[in-house]
Amino acid sequence: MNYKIVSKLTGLLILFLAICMIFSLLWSVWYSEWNVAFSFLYTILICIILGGGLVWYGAGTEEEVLRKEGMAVVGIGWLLSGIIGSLPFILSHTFRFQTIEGVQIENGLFSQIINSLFETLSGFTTTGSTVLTNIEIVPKGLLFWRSFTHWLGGMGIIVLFIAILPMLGAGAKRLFKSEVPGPIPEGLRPRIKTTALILWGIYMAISAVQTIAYLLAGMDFFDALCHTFGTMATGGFSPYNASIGHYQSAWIEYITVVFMVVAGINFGLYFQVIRGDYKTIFKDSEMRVFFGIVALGTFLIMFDTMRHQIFDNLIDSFRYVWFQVVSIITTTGYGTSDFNTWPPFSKLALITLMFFGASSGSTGGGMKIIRLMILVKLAYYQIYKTFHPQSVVTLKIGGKPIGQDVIDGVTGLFIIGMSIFVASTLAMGMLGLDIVTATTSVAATLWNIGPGLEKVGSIENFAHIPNAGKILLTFCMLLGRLEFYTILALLLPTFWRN
Amino acid sequence: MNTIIIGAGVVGFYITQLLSMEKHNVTVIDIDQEALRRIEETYDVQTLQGHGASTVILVEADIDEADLVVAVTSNDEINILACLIGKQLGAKRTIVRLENPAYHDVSDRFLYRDLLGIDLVINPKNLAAMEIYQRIRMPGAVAVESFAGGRVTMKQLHVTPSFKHIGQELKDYRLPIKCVVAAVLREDQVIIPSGIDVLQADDMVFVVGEKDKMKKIETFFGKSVPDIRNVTIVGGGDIGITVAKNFEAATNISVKLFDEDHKRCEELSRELNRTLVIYGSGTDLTLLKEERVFNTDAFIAVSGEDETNLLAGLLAKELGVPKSIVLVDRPDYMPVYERLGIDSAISPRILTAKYVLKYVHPGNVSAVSFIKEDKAEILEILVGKNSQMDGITLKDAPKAEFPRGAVIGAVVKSGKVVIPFGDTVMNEGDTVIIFALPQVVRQVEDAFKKAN
Repeated sequence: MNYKIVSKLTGLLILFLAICMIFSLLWSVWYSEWNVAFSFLYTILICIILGGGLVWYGAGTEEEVLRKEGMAVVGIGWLLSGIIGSLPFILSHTFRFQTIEGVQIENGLFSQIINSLFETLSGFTTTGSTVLTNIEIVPKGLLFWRSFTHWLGGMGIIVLFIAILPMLGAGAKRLFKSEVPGPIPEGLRPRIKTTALILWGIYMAISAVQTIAYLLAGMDFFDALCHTFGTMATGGFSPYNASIGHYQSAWIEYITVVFMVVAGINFGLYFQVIRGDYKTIFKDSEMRVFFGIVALGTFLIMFDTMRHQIFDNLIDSFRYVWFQVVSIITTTGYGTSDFNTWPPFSKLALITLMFFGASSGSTGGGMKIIRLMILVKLAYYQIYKTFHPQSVVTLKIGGKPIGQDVIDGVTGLFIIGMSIFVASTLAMGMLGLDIVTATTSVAATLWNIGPGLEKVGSIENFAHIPNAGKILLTFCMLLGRLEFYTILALLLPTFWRN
Repeated sequence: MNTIIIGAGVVGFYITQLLSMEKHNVTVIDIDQEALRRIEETYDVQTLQGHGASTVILVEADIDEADLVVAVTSNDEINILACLIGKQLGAKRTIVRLENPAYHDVSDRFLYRDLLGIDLVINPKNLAAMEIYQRIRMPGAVAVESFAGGRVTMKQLHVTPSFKHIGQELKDYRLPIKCVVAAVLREDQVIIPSGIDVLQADDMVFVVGEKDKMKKIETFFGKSVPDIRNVTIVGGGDIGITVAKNFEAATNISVKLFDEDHKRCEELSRELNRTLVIYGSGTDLTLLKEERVFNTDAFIAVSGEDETNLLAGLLAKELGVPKSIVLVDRPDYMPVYERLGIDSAISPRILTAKYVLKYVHPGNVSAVSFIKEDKAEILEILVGKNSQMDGITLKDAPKAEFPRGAVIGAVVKSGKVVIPFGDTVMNEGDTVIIFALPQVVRQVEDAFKKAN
């Protein structure tokens, strides 16, 4: 392991975060929240000292970023981003007083740190689970920072880093692959830096369009920005307790749902469209399956909720169910109605969708549709082979053959993901949570969705979960966002040996 | 006509045989003295030993005076090079045998013509694959021929006693699609019919029409077409994969493909979409039963070995497969196959030789086929500028030297197939498909010849 290059790059990343924090600082100055402004200022100072030190330590190294170093930079970088990002919350004592089940309690410093870390990493990993009991009393500067972490984490801090930093060379590819694993490696352009620039460019452009759409629908600029960040990153943080439901506006809901879908599609396809290739996007089999699942899920849950008379009429039912289905499958986690009150089938269907996730190459989390397609085909061929033992089949998606290494990666990820899901659920049960809360809290964080059911449902929050549980769920978020392999590799002792 | 044949293998041998019998001047070039000796002993031709793409040898063979150069060695590159040199030195027309599928990604043979000066590219494996495919896909037809680059199809169909128009005059028939009954074969006599002719049971009719629409005509003459649903192919070589791809692309037929090489099987399963690729031998009776080969409608054995193909074909017959088509590398064996019970034996080399022969005709005549050996010829002719037929409608054709005993089956105008009527005009550059009795072929050719 070449510690110097790791130190240099993480140092640069911290300095970069300091620059990002200036926007939040400006918002708190704008709203005259001096306490918060100072906590941002202190954090920025800490960033400069720490980042500067790390860069200084690693200065002068000209060595290349190899695979291991790339993974270390991404893993450590994400962890450090979480820690640095949580400093404004810690320094301004955001989590000092909390109301849990109607009782106001005062948290000690340790609990405040855990809560801050949970909230920040929930932001960066675009999960959107919150430990804030009353979001609306939190100062605007912090609310903006919270949403901004979504936006940075959505397309990827490291990807942005690659797009901006000039001197990464071939190492950029290794960094990119560690942050954006995806089942099938595909570069849009020969150079990964160009790819990163294109992806962030598309991301920014669509975000700008959404912000304008919100402004036209009557949102103020601050809210429009926060909700855009939450949507485009498929995160789910909102500056309001009632999330998107706060507005009670069909227009805002439809804007949100459309952009959630947009964020849940492979960004590579938009690049094809920009290049003038309009056909590929409609031929993409993953996108078709994604749309198919959304349509089927919406239909079934509409049917179920209508049968149980949850909504007054068909139009309302469509409006709320479509929103919720898209919000869950893209792993955004916005809410317009409390789906915890929906009938059992609807809730189970939504839990299932949590595992599905969005398309590969999108900002969404979950297993990703393409992995599901590969797994389903794999299972089909296994059954098929029992009565055609001598047959030789090649797994294909959209007519393209899928290599054995990709299939192994997908099955491995599925096994790891499910094992961690089961183990974490057991651990949450050990902490005394009921079955539904334990299961859905893990699913909602591991697949970066946000809200679960029962006590972590869409109108609830994660504040009541014991500290140990919060640490575990924070870890789950990080695992899910980086798709397991990068983080788990860092935990292996052999990884660090030379 | 001066012809140079490069390569004295089976293809070269067969072409030499046919051309020398038609009294052409043939020079055969090959590196193998023994092969040349065999040809020289059998036919009245000149032979030249040496490398087929060597300029020295080609000049020695007077390639500058050659009307036709046919390069049919088993080496694609030598074939291309020989023709390239030949064309540069003044040979009039060149035909090249290309087997490597990589060269056929450029499907347009005109690109070869413009780029390399090759007039005709032949791929024996593709020819074999097409032949197999057509024999299975057009079961009602006894024989199928394609013209005008595959756009026009001629089918030979059997008139059954249940045909409802028996005894009526041809002009009163209500044909299901636009097509032309171009010839009738009755007890070994070919009739080029006119509107007042009458069909009888057990006639063979030759129908010409646009390729895509011709499927409808099959049942018209009373024969019910047995539906082909399952096809089994043994051998995943170039021919096997091409046949499988044809079936995948065209229809809802399910295909099983056996190959003995596991690596090749993986390649096949990547290349093919709906085909079931099975790793195993086509002569493994247990495996054949396990994969329910007895339920297939057609069995195709196209592996690299004649013995394996024959054995597999016979096993399939034994299992009750109605149709068994087998690839033969050595054409000498072919007569034995049918006696043993194989339905068709296909030799890529003979197909190649026949294909070359279609080409050995005057400049504007490009494809020739025969009905019942030489009872009638089918010609594909380009209408020459200012020829007697240029600008003439069909109904006026007899006045302008178009002979009796010939009929125009189809006209291809700038890529589009026109089924001709009395008012159809033939213009310079059109391709016409003509059925003609042998005694009027020369007249037909003259009628379309370019004039000044």
